[in-house]
Amino acid sequence: MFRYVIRRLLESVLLMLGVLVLVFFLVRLTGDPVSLIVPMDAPTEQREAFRELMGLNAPLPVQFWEYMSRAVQGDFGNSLRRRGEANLGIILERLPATIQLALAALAFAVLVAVPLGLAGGMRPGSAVDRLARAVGLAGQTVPSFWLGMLLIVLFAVTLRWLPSFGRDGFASIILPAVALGFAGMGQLVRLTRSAVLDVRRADYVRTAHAKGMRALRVSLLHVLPNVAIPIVSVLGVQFTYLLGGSVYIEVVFAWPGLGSLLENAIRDADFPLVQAITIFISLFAISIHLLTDLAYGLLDPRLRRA
Amino acid sequence: MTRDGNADRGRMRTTGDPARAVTSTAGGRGAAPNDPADGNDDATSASLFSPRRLWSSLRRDVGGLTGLSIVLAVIAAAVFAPWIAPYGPTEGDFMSARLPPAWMDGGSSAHLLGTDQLGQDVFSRIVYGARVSLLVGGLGALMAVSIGVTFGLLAGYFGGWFDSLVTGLTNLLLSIPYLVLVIVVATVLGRSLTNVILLFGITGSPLFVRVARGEVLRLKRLAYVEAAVGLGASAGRIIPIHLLPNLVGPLVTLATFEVSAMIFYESGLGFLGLSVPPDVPSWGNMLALGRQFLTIYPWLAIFPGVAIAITALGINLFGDWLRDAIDPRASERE
Repeated sequence: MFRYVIRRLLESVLLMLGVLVLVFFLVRLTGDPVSLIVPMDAPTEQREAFRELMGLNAPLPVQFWEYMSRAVQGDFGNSLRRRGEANLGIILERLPATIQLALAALAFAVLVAVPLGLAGGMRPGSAVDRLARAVGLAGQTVPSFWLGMLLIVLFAVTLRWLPSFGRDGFASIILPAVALGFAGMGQLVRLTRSAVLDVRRADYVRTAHAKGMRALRVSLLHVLPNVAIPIVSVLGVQFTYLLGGSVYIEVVFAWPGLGSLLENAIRDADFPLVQAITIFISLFAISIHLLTDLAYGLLDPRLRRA
Repeated sequence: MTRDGNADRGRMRTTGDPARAVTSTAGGRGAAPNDPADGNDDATSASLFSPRRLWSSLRRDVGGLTGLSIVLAVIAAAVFAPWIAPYGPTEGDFMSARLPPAWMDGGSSAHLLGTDQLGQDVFSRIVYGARVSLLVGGLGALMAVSIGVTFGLLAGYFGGWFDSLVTGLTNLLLSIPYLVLVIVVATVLGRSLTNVILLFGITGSPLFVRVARGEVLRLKRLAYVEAAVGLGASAGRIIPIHLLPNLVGPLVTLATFEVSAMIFYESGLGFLGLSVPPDVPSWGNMLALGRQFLTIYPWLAIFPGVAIAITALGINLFGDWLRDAIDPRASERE
């Protein structure tokens, strides 16, 4: 186990360094950052002054070294707008809203998908199963941000039950969480259903049925614990996917998180902030993967040796 | 299977996918799929990909047939747009701007799905918009598969430093949340159709690198490949004749779902104003406009989304059938 932890830790650190390098070159390989930010018709002196200010006239290796040594100390530069505030501070201020939204979406997805997939998988071909398959398919065919707009039209504009934007109390998180969690819900239904289809033929399930145990008890006591492992293992992946998907949902619902911050930063051509958000979200995702892998290694000893 | 499922890094590589094992061995010992000399007339020994076998399986699958019909209809809409759409995609008429759909109060039968704030016909723009979505989805997936298979094959076959490099880069690209990666790359590339196709072709490839490489690592240990190596066959012979045909099964299904995923992502980029230029009729651009007028003219946002959902439904139904048809283990479970 110890060697497994060390190996995964090293891998994660390497990946994080890789992300820093990749983002640095991604932004610079595609052109002069100055021309992205300074208006095309700005006088040359202004352009050069800006270049100087941003440290962009130093040789590339020097810039790279500066950038890397700051990044590993947790300094992700300063925003171009927002009165030059430190990017990290801006990001940390917005982070709780995004995590809250992603967790709410994940909770919605799990609470709907697992019971539905379980009920459907236990009785293939039944009405519940057809519903489960339909939900699974719907998750793959409905774009989340479009669903978000539909929910707004229906529940906020027409019925006036729920607020259409902002982050203000429990009511305001319902619509964005449903829209964001919908695709993941579809995937989880499919996964749960197919895992149940595999497990329900196992001897211990047949035995439980044979000794007269009620179907509900069999599902909850014998089937559910055995399909939990594949479900738990995709939750980490799901969560990072939700972090990415939240960009669109936050824009639709004006949710004050990292996603809408990223969209604003792109609109403002605030490239240091865009760079910092990308790095931050990636590092966050890598950490979550590391944690789920370690937790998974604890639960399932076979993986440690793999 | 969408991207989120496949981003389950590492696990696929170490354990392999038992479902794929069945597919590939059934794919024939190096016999090229659709090889005319392969005796397709004999149903039992026919290749997994023989048109006759596939057609007889598709005929019995309502979902698959529905999916194929939808996909063909969308392709037809894209190809024959000028004959299907009653108006040009950018043909505006201020006299008939902001009309609701024909069946609503104030709607006009001249504009079935209503018009936008410039008086452009929503239905016509949706028909033309199919072009962008299909081009991005189709060419993007094709490019992702080509890049992915090339690097995955070479890395898996030759191993060594090249393999480490390719695997490292793949893991790196997959470690950045995909939707964020796409947004950032789109921002630096700028808005043009070519750039959007390139963007999805490149960012979509790591998935295929991973699957192709894993498959090659597994195939390399099979007796018929070892025999070929033992007989002195060169890599130039083994790769195209013994390995490549066996990759078709697992990759074709994955690529099908990837087309629908890319259509989704393209519309998302358009929605954020980062895809094709704003004057190009595309479903994503229409949704971006729809968002601005969401509370007053909701039809502007609703109909392009319906087009996306129907297209994705068609591709997914077709993909589900395809997976079952060329993956015997998956169909057994249903």
